[in-house]
Amino acid sequence: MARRYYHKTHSYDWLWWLLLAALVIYGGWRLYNHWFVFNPRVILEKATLKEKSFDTEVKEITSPKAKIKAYLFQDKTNPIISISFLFKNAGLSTDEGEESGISTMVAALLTEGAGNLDSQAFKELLEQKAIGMGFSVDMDDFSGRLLTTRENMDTAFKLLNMALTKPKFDAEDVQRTKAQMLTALKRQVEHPSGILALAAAKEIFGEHPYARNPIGDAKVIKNISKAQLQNFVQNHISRSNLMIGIAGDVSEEEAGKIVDKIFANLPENGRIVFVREAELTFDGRVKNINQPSAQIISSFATKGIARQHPDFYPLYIANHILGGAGLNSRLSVAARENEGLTYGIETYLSMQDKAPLIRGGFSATPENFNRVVEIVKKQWAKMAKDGVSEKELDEAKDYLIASYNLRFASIDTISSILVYMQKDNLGLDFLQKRNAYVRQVTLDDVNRVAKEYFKPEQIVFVNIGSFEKQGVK
Amino acid sequence: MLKSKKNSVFAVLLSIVLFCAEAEAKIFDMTEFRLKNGLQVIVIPNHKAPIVRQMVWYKVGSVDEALGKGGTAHLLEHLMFRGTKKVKDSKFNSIVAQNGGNSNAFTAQDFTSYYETMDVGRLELAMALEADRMENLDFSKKSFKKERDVVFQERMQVVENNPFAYFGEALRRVLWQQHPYARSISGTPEEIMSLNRDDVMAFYESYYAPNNAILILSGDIEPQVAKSLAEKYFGEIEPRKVGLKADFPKLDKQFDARLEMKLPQIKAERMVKLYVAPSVNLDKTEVYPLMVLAAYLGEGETSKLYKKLVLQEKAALGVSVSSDYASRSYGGFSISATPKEDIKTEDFETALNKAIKQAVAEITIEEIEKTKAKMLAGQVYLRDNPNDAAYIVGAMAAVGMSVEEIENHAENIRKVSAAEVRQAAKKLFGGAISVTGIVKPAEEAN
Repeated sequence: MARRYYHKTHSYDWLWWLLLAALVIYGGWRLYNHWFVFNPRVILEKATLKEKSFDTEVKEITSPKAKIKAYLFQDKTNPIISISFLFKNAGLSTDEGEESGISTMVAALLTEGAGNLDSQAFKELLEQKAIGMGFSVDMDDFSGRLLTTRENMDTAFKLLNMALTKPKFDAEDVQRTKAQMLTALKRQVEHPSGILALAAAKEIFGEHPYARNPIGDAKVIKNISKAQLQNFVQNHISRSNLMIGIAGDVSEEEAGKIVDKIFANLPENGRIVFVREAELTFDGRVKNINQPSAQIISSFATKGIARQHPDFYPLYIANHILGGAGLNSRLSVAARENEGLTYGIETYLSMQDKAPLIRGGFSATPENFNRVVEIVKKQWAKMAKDGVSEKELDEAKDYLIASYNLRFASIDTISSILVYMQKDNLGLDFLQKRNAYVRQVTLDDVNRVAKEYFKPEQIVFVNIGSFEKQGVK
Repeated sequence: MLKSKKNSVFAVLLSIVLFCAEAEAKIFDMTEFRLKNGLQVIVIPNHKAPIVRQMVWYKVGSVDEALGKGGTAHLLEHLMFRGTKKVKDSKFNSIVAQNGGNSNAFTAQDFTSYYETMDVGRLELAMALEADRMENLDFSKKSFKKERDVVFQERMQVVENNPFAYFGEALRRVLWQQHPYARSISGTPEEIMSLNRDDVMAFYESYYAPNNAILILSGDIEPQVAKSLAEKYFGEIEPRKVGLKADFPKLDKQFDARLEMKLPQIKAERMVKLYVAPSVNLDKTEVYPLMVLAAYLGEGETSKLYKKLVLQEKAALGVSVSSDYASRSYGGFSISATPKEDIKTEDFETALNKAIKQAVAEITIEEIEKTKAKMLAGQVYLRDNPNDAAYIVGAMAAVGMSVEEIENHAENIRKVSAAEVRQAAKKLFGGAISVTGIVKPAEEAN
């Protein structure tokens, strides 16, 4: 009896120790987790802040008078309005050969006076009313943007309309702008990367107008006449090739009236210039430009696909994994993080209308240069041969989806997104559907596309720097 | 009749609107509080999109480095992405990326800043990560060496390979002489390569503490929520004794220096005049008049110097003026111009000096009121982008400006009189330490 009792006590003791050990282990585990483990999943599960739904509805409006269509994104948090617009096919590649640079000059001159306001009077009004107005030109299109407070919006719309329909092109302003552009052409080649950009365009695009200098041609700029500038406006600034995006504190009804105020009296039709598709050769050639400098800079390119191509998303994801922005891409991890060879390396999809490309670049001191080229080729080949893993694909999708809302930080960006939705035919509901497009991409899609587009033997390299320092030449 | 009635109603409405604007002229509507450990927290609400930018500003920069240890602050900034006791190696980058965040950092003379922009649903992850690396930094020797190589490459890319940046560094050395602002933020290439792990860790332990930092949350978040989250993630970090900071010398020997640099890569000549000027930490009364002076002289293409040099004299292709008042020590004032090609350097310098003199002589009440109105007209845009707001507020708070002073910017500008601007100009152009820098193409070798 006593024995049994003793025995019983003994077994109770043992359980007690077990419990204590469990507690110590549990406590130790908790402490270990607290001090040494960072668990993103747990942090998010316990988070107070949860994902919010966000209304990204885009409306298509039609102006009451001239029946011009525009996209509208309403944001009433701040009494300001941003308008982006684009005249399609009025970019630098559509300038006639002997007029290369006229589009850029018009872009610079449209804020130099219009109607009865000379350059100073025009700018004075812009500044007094805090109106932001600017025009720019890329190879494909002529674009503009307007930023105004609600308080001053009527002045803003009127000034923009004047700039588009009655630009002054006073002799003195033309003269000054020419001198500024000619100096810009000189400054463009002060940094080796500027020389490289021009040389790479020549090497890649050859005879195609995309090979042109994005500022224009010096000889042409010197000789452009007022009549030529007026002709450009007449021919290219018209309602037929116009796309408009409006974002900010504005109602649908107001937006329609605004469009009329700014654009209704533009000519109905302009002259449409078609630029041919670029026929490019990607054969693995290398062009080296020897010039004394601290680093060799490289720009490389191969064939890509257009925004509307069914393989766009798979290729976009494959590129993101290989060399997309940030420090997390395969190329950045290999060349920067693991070997410390360069400050940055990146690849991206270049979306020009007539020649979509996969492009990339880096700069590194001469002794590192060959090794980085080797890494680019190796990673490129690996992408084609092995593709990406399920985990990499999931992580890339997570990034693209979770980062989506970050682009809505400023109304300027939003209005320009609205224009590109129209230019690329993405549909009115694109902002709601985009994450689904990303989700739909399968591992097979990405790996099939990777095989097709990442061919290391085809990459064209154009490099600039001191090659003799390490015997590259 | 009807029309005038409508107008008078409108006028009444307008005066109400103006009155309201006057009553709450705050730019950002920020909320500020301090945690028990000394961390200063600033919340800037912006509900346009469900995103938040988090910034952590450490009130330490390249000026606080020991002599010969140039580049420590910047190298540390890089190593903050290379691992902690909990978040090993480059896990920081992959966690932020997988959660859709954008993250980066930068080092300046007076401060070092880190940021993440996140969807609001993932913000807490970024808060946990920043809190973790405020106290747990730990990276391997190998990571250290690789990152030092990266920083060396950065120096080569950003300064050595960029002639105008190279000229800028040289110019600041001449202006600031023995003052720590003379030193390059990145350190020289030799300094960078001589830094070791202990240098960087010692810097981290001396200066990275909640009581030497500012947390900014800008975007779709309420101050109350921000407060409880700041306490949850940063509240338990122990305050530390903060190391000695730069001892700024008093600059009392006036000089006008000159630096002419010919560089083979330069194709178009530029002239830059830099002046040592008061900052918010030295003489607040002069800071706002100098800001108005800069705008009057050379902000935008209707400014006085643009009119004189570009339009009337036709001596320049462009000119711009800016004042830098947000700094821990002295501030600066700068005038940059691109001379026309056919004009000789000396002639241009004469023209520029003459134009400045005339512009100052022509300061009138009317012109100054017009300048001030332009400066304030676009203030509402500052509320647009939460990322920009975080940067603007942080850069001012990190050098010691109070939230009230940042919010009252408009009022401080409005109060400036023409006489004060004239006085500030007289002092600046009559007796400030200055350097005139010219960078021009090297003569072609025949």
